Amino acid sequence: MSTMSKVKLNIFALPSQTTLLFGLMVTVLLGVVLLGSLGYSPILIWPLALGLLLLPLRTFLARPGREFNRHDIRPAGKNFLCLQQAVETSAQKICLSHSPKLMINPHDGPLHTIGTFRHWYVVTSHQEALNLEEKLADSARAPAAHAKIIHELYHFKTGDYWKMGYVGELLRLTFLFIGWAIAFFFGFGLLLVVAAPDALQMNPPELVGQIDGLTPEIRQAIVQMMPSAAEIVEVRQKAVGINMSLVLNFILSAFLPLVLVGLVLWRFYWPKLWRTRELYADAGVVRTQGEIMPFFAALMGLSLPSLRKYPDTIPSTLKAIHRKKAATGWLARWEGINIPRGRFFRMQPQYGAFSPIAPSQSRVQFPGRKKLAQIFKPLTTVFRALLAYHPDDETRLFCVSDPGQVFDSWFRTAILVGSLTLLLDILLSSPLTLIHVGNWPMHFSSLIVMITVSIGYLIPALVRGRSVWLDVVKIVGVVAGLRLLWLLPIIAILFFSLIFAPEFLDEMLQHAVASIAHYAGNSVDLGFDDLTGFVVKASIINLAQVFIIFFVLLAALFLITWLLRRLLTWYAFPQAERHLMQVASLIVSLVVVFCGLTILPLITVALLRPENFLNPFLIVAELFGLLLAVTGVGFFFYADRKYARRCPFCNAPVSGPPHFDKCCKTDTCNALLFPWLLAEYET
Amino acid sequence: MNAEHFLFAPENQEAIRAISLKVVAEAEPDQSDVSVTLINPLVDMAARGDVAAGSTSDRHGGFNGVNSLLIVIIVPLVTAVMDNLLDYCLGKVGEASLSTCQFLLRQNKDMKSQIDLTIDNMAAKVQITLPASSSIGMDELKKIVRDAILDHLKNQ
Repeated sequence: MSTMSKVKLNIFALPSQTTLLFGLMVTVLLGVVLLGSLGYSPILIWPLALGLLLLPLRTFLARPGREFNRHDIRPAGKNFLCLQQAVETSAQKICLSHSPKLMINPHDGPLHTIGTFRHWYVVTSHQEALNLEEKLADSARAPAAHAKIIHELYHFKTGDYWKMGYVGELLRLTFLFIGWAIAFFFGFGLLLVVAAPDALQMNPPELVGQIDGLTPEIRQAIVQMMPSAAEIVEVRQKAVGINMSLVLNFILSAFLPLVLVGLVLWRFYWPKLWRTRELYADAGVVRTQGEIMPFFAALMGLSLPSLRKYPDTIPSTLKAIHRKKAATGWLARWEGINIPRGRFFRMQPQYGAFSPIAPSQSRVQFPGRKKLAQIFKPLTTVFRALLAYHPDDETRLFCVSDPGQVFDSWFRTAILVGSLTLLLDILLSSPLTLIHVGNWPMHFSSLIVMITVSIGYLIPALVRGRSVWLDVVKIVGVVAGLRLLWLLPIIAILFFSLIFAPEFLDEMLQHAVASIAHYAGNSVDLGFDDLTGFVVKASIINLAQVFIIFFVLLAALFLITWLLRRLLTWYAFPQAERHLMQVASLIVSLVVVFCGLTILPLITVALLRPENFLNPFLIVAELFGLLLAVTGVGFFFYADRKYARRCPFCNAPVSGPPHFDKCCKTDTCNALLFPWLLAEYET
Repeated sequence: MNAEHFLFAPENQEAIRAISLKVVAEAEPDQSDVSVTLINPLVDMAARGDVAAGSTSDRHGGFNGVNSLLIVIIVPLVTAVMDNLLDYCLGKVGEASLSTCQFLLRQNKDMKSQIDLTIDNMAAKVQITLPASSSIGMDELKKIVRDAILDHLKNQ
């Protein structure tokens, strides 16, 4: 089996999935708040955006100190010297810039890492430190202890410790800030609703006159400081037009989507980030140690002497896991968990061939509570796996035996980008950002799809020699399908209301317009003259956008696929191990910029504002995008002719699709073309 | 008696293997194939008096999460329970073997409750924590272990 061979894919040579997930989460939350703070708003948003940008950084930097004080964690000092030495040698082995400090938690707690950009710490409980020292002192068991230490140090090596730290704080502060903003503005709005009539009837000179003990001079001075009668009349006139319920409506509909989307990110994407970083750290351990056995022993809690006594254990386990993964259905493949096919419809669990339970015992029975639990077990298992902070042991072993499995399948990629795009669409429909409809920021979600699919799926899949054309169609299809799933019920509700409750629809749309118009308070006479025309036009434009974006995404991703496929045959490219992935990122960026500046604005103007075709800003942006694309294409073909499909050692032509362990096929050479894409270790 | 002595006898090791695999087949049938490949080093570890890892947290990094493969926590539990049962037999009839357990089970109605009690005590003693992804609860797992032990003793 190829996956059991010694040569594996070096996942550290490819774009990091952890960084990609980190970027997506930060972009969704922070990007939208920043976008919402642009332009006029009845309430100030930019302090919130600034706070959300900087405060997570501050709390992240303060986190180690806070945690150490809270749990009374202290430096190991002169204790556990053997463990400190092991941390230091392991840090040197994996080429960390400096060695983390060992900290001891007097209470119960696992071995873990924490740190800021400059200060790194490995924290463990006193008991666990004793266990590790005991193992390190025993040469037969020391490699398993080293595996644990190297795993933790790899969190520093990959830099995921600070990404996790920042995102964690960003999520926490988003809930805190947005919750506070809703409560404050809502309370303030209610106060105004209650107090406004009295405040508007107030007569300052009369009020001052009622205060005893003031000298005429002071009384005069206070009256002069207060608004004049003319100013009060003006305020009263403005206040008549303010509909406070619409202001409250604005506040809720502006901030609530952020809270809801934050909850989704926290419950589903945050655990995924955790799981992904663990898989990277595992890959680092086996790559550093050159064999899987110590990692296997440490992960399963087995002792190395017992494992060595049964040398067939690891190969058999890995084969069993590979068999199981190959035999699982699509639902299981999605999240990498194991559900035998057809389990949805089985009343009894399926037993293995060795099972001591007789087949007669597994008869179909009336589905009681327990049976129903069995029927829904696959779904609950998927749900639990989605919420888990650690990948299960089988997935971890599967990924170290075949590191390419760390990267998402086409379906997982499609669900990831599709759901994130949907979340972005929902966020961008909030009153804070809908003012930008038809302008550049609204292309944000399409560009996010291009970047994520290219970096998160296309590069790893192409490196593994896969044909991705059909997968691209399927991914873009799922993304468009999810958008349609969101849009169709909304359009259905609009038409249903138009036919059966037009007055309700009119009122609902007035509220919507008041919310998004950024002048919520002064909304007067927002009714629609032609309700039917509005509903029909909105439905057509929104549906058309789904299909137009589908084809734009498809074309862009096909172009990127073709370019990346060519790029991965640049075997003669100098210092490919350092620069080839940078060129790949540059290619993706150029296509994204070209689409963002030229293609998407052109389509939007044609669809929404044909009169803006000759807008000078638009023309300059489009020409700039075009110029960049043409220059990029020129450089690409120049380099392609120079470096592509040629062995760097013997200059012989190399044919066939790219693959990470591709060799020059000439008899005399036979050199590995991309040795930096390989990791070698025994399984 | 301790686990090392108990597992010195090959038939006792075989009993641990059979009961543990039966428990996994009942509780997490999807894990059966993988469990078969892991059972030998686990029993070997138990025979050396080495307890497999198991922790309490799914929130922190690395190797300190709970093992998601049930067999890793089942073998130490079953070993401890069987060891205790043999101690009970030793106290009752002066002999500690599986056949004595079998005999007592046929004769003594208290044997079932003794098994329950032992499982409760041992589950607390070896500090079993089920993984977050587990589809069964602790009580259900205890019942499955009890049934598997009874089944093994009856059909031996």
